[in-house]
Amino acid sequence: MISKKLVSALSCTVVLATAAVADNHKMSEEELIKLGKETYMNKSKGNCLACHALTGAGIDQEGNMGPNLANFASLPDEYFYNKIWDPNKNNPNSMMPPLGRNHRVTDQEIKAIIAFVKHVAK
Amino acid sequence: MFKKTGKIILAAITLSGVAYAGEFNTQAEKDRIAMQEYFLEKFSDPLGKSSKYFPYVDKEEIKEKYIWPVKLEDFAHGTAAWYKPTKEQLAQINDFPPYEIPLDEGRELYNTAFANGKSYADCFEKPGVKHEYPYFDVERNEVITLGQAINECREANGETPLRYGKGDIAKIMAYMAYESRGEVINVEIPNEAAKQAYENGKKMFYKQRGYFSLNCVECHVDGSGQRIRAEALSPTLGQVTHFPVYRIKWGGLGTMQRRLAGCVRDTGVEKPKMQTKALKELEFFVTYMSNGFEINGPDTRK
Ligand code: HEC
Ligand code: HEC
Repeated sequence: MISKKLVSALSCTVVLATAAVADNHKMSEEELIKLGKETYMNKSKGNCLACHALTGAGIDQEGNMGPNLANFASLPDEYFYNKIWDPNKNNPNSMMPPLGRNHRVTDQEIKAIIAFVKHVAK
Repeated sequence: MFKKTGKIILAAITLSGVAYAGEFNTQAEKDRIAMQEYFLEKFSDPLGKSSKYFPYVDKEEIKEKYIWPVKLEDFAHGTAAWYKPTKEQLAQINDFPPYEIPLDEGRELYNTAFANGKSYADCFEKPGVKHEYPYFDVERNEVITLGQAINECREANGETPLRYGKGDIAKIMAYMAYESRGEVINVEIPNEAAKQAYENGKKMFYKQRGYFSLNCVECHVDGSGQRIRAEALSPTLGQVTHFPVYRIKWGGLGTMQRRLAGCVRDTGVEKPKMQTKALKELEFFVTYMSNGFEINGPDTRK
């Protein structure tokens, strides 16, 4: 019988390995959008839906502490990137978490979120 | 017994003219009044003042789902004070309150004798003293919570302490809260050390922490009146009146300390231990903010 510990150890390694690969190889636009959606939805990652609506994404139970992100889709990637990296830069009183600066999301995941939001809102 | 000690010492200090309690709560009173004014203003006209207080909330949602103006005493109902869906949902659940059975068990536990023949009645003047906690014990120089007092009563009578947060301790507290319904919360700040405890609690309330860099203010002051996902955020004002609560998510009763520990964790840090100095001082501060409110617990929450 395979012990539960071993199974979870194995699946852990797999997850870590995939994450490493995901961060290194150049993703196709489609993969990027998929990763973006996962990061956007994941409670311990972006968790963007907790505070933002995104018209067109068909997500249930979106919060309303921040603006609808569909309104920001036409802004340059860099603007978006900086906001997710550290929202206090353009708004010192922002209650949006500094998910980039606090290492909750990687560089690639931020780019993926942007790709996802722009894909949905276009 | 516990509460009385504090009172007697306080009276002694007052009589000797060293200081009187009023001096130590000047800032706390300012904070409490400011908090009341903020919430009364915020919920006086959410539609008219939406750009100031609810810039990203859909106006249709305000029209359909918000309740206003919210009167001061209504803040005792948490989110149900301003959000219709929560109010309706709670009213429906409370047709058959899920806290009723644990409340009965709490009454039973409270009145059951310890192995030495004594009982909680030997420690507390009466069961209805929920509104007197937490208080600052000037002799021991610390904040004493009701949960702590219950366990100290047990230990003084040779019983093992109960696990904090849920289970029997929450049931006993539910009974004590029930017996305290209508009693007014009146946290006192009797001396310099108590003032420090209040200030520590306040700092904790404002401190941004964790990988979400969030603090209590962002969710329960500025954020109150908005939603995180589907969770409509309650105002700090009046938050303590209804504890312990039967929370559907917990599938049982939980105490204020349990709720506080959970909310601290939600800022993205490891869950803190209940009944530590820091968490007791946070409860002291939050409870002070609700001075003047009546106890209406136990109640039900999502
Ligand atoms: C805890 C709540 C919260 C979370 C989680 C959150 N935000 Fe925000 N966000 C806000 C608030 C509040 C504002 C409005 C204040 C401001 O501009 O900072 C905002 C503003 C924004 C803006 C508008 C910036 C501007 O200049 O007006 C963008 C874009 C944005 N967020 C993207 C995101 C993305 C993408 C995520 C997930 C990775 C996210 N947010 C997660 C609360 C949050
Ligand atoms: C990320 C958002 C967030 C933060 C930060 C947060 N809370 Fe909460 N809190 C919630 C949510 C969501 C609920 C459940 C809905 C409600 O009743 O407000 C809640 C509930 C509560 C309740 C129970 C209210 C009731 O009526 O049952 C208390 C008390 C509380 N929080 C205190 C605090 C304190 C003190 C802090 C700071 C340490 C804090 N919270 C930080 C989101 C938060």
